[in-house]
Amino acid sequence: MKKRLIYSLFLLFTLFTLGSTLTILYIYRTTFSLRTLIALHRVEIIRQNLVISVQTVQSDLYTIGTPYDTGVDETVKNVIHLDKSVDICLGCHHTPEMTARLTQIDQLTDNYKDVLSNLITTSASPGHIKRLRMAAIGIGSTLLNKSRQMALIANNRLNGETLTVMEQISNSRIILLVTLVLSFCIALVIAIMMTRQITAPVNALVGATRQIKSGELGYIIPFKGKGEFGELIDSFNDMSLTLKDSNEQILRYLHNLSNLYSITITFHSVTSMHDIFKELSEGIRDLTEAQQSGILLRDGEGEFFSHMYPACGITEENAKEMRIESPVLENLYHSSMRRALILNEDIQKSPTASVDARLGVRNVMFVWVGHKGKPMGVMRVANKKTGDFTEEDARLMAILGNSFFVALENVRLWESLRLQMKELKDTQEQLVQAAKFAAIGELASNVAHEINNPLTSILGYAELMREDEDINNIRRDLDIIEKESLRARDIVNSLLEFSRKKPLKMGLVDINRVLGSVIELIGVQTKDSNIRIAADWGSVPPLKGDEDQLKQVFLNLASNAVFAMGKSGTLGIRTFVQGDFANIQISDTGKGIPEEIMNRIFEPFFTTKNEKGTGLGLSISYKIVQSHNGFFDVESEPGRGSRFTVRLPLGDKTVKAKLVSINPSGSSLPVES
Amino acid sequence: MKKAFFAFLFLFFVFLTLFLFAAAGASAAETKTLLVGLVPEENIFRVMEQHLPLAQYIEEKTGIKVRFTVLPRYGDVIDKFKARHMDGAFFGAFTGYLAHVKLGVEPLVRPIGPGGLVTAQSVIFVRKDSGIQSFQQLRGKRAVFVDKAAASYIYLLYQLRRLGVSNTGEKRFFSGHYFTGNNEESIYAVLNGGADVGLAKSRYFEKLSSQDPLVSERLFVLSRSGDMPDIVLCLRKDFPPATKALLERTLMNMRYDPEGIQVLRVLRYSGFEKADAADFDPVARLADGAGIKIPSYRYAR
Repeated sequence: MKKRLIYSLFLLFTLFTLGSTLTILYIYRTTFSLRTLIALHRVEIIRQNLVISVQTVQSDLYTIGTPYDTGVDETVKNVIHLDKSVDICLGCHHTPEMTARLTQIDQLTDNYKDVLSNLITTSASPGHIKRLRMAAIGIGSTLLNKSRQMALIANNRLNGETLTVMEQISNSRIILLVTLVLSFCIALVIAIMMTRQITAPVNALVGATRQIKSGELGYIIPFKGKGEFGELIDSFNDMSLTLKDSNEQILRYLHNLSNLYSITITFHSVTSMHDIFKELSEGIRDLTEAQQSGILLRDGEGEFFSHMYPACGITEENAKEMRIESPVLENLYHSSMRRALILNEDIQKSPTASVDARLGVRNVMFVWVGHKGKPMGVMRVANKKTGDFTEEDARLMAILGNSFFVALENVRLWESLRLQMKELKDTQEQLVQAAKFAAIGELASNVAHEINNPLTSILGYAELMREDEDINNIRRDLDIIEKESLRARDIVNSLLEFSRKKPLKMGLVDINRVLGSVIELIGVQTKDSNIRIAADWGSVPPLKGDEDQLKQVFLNLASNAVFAMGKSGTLGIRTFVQGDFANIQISDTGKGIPEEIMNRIFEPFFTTKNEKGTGLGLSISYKIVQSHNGFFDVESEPGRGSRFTVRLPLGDKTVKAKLVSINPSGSSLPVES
Repeated sequence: MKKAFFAFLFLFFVFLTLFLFAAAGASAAETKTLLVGLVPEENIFRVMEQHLPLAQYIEEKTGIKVRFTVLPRYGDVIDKFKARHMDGAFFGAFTGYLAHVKLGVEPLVRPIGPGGLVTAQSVIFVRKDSGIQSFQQLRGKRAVFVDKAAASYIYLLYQLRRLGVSNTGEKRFFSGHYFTGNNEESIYAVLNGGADVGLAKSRYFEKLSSQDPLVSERLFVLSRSGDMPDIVLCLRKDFPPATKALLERTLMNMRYDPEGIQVLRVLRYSGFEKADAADFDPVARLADGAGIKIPSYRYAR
C-alpha cells in the first residue's frame, strides 16, 4: 500500500508537474508573444512619435518667420525630441536592414538639425534663405517618408504579430483548458482508486470490529491483499483468533470458577460428612471431566488414608479397597514437594495401582489436601474423558481441596455445635422447669392451706356424719363433702396442669382468659392478705402464642407484684391494644425497683427475694416474650410501685425486642436485653 | 508675571509670522525658474542638448530650476535679455562685453575649455586654393560672417580699419556677404565654396580642423586676433546675492564632483573658474581699435 501510495502520489506529482510545466510553458509563450506585441506596440509608438516629431518640426519649419512662428525655443524642443526619438529607435534591437534604415534616418536627422540650425541662425539674402529652407524641407520630407515607412513596417509587423498572438492565445486557452480538465479527470480517477484501495480494507476492518464488538470473536476478514493493509488485516485476523481463544479460555476459567464457587457454596451449606464427600467427588468430576473421583482421608488412628464414600465412578467396595498406609503417602507428599501427582502414562506408579488396574484406569491424578505442612488427605481423579490431566486441573483441584478442608472442619464444628446446642437446650428446659417448680413451691404453701380448708370441712362433716343418723343430714353433709372434695381436686388439677412439662405449642391465645386463670391462681395466694386485685379487661383479639408459656410469664409477673406488696396493696391487671400490639400491664403498689438494679432484673439468677427466689423468673419470662417477638416495658418508682407491660404482636409482624424502663422522674431508659 | 507672559506670547507670534513670511519668500525664490540664455555659437540644437544636463545638475544640487533658451542671433541676447526678463546668459566675448556695458550684467564664472584654456581668438580664414595670401586680397571677395555681435566681426572691423576701411564700408569692401549665425556654418560655407573668406572663433575652427580633415587641408587662417574671453556666464545686476553665491559655488565645485564631471564632459569643459569684468578688457581694446562706440553700435544684422 505504501508503495502504491508513493506511486500514486508520484503519478499525481508528475501529472501536476507536467500540467504546471505545460501551463507555465504556454503562459510563458503567450506572455512572451504579448511582450513582443507590447514591444512592437512600443516600437510603433516610438516610430509614430518619430513621425509626429518630424511632422512637428516640419510644421515649425513652415511657420518660421510667419505670424504662426512658435519661437525658437519650441522648435529647439521639438528638434531635440525628434533627435531623442531617433536615438530611442536606434537604441532598440533591430535587424541589420532596419539598423541601416535607422542609421540613415539618424544621419538625415543630423543633417536636418544642421540645416535647420543654419536656417534659424543665418542672416543672408532671401535666395540663400530660400535655398536653406528648401534644403531643410527636402531633408524633412525624406525624413518623414522614411519615418512613415518605418512606422508602416512596424504597423504591418504589429498587425501580423497581433494575429499570431491572438491565435496563440486561443490555442493556449484550449490547451490549458484541456490540460486542466484532463489533469483533473486523471487526478480524480487516481484519487477515487486510491480512496477505494484505502477505504475497502478500512471498511472491512470497521465491519470486522463491529462483528467482534457484537460478540463474534474469531471473525476473519476475507479481504486478500498485499502491503500494509494486507499485513494489517492478517494481524487483525490473528488478533481476532487470539481474542476468540482468550475469550474461550476466560469462559473456561469462568466456568471452572463458577463450578468452584458452586461447589464451595455447597460445601459451606452441607452439614454432614456424607454430603460433603458426595459434593466433593461430584465437583472434582465436573471440574476435571474425569470418570472417577473421590478423596482419601487419614482415618481415626492415623495409620491409613482411606477412600471416603460417596465417591464418583467407583463402588463403596472399591472405595474400601483403596487404603494406603500413612507413611507411604507422607513420603510421596514430601518427595513430590506437595505438588500434584499426575500420571497420564505411568499409572503403575499410582499409590492405588492395585485397585486402578481392576477399575480400568487409563490416567490418574492425586492432589494433596494439606494442613500445617502435613497431608490431611489426597484427592484422586482418574480417566479424564478427553485427553490427559493437566496442571490446570491440578490447580483447580487444589483450590477445591482447600475449600473442602475448610468445609470439612465446618462440618465437624457443626456437628460439635449441634451436640452442644442440644445440651444447652436440655439445660434450658431444665432451668425453665426448675423455675416453674420454684413458682409452684412458692404457691405450694398457699395451695396447701387452700386444700386444707376443704379437707378440714370434709373431715368435720365426716365426723358429723358418723354421729348423725338422719339420712337427710348425712346426704346434705355428703353433698358438702363432695363439693369441698371437687374444689380441692380443681386446685390440685390446676397446679398439676401448670407444673406439667409440655412441648412448645403455638396456637391462638385469648390473653384475657389466660390472665383470668392467673388471677385464679394468685387469688389463692392473696386470699388472706389485704391485696386487692383490680382487673381492667380491654378488647384484645386472640394472638399467636404458647398459652402455657405466656401463662407462666403473667403468673411470674403477678407473683413478683404480690411479693413486692407484702400484706396489702393493689395488684393491677390491664389489657389493651395499642397499634399492632396487645399490651398486658401488671402493676403493683409495692416498694418499687431501685434504680441501680433496674438494668439487672432480667439477668438469670438475679433476685431480691434472697432464699425465697431462684432469680430465673424474669429472665425466663424475658426469653419467652422474646420468642413470641414481643418485648417488655418496665416502669418503676421506688416506694410507689412498679408496672410491667408485655407487648405482644397481634399479627405476624416481627418486632425486635426492646426493653424500656421509666425512671422515677418518668423518663425512659433502655434496659439491656 | 501676567504681562511678561503676554509680552512673550506677542513676541512669539510676531516672530512666527515673520518666519513664515520669510520661509514663504525663500520658498518662492527657490521655486522661481532661472531663465538663462545661450548664444548660438554652433548648432543651436547641439548647444541646447549640451546645456540641458547642466540645468538638471544645478537643480539637483541647489534646488534652483534653470531653463535655457537659445537665441538665434547674438544680438538677441542684448535685446531680449530685458524683454524676456532673463536672469543670465552664457555670453561670447563681445556679446558679454556689450551686455556688461549696456545692461550692467555681472560676470560670474567662465568655463575652462580643453587644455585649460579660458580664452579664444577670432580667426579670418580663406580657402587655400583661393590664392589669397594677404588681407588686401580680400577686397571684392564673398564673405561669410557669424554675427555682427560676434567678436570675430569686431576683429574684422579692426583689421579693415587698419586698412583704412571705415566701419560702415565693410559691405562695399566685399562683393557679397551673409551671416550664418554660428561659427561652424561659417567655416563650412567657406569650405563648400559658399564664400571666399570667413570669420569664426578659433575654438570651432580648431575643433572642425581636428574632426574634418578637409578643413585643415583646404582652409587657411589669414589672420588671428589676440586672446579674448571664450564664454562668460553673466547674471543680471540685481540677481539675489545668496543665489548668486550658491550658483557660483556649485559651478566652481563641479569639477570636484563626479556627477559634475559627467556634466562637464558633455559640455566639453573641464570646469568653471571665477570671472570678472576685467576679463572683457581685451574685447574693449579690440572694439576701441575697431572704432566702435558701444552705446551707438548697431549690432543687429
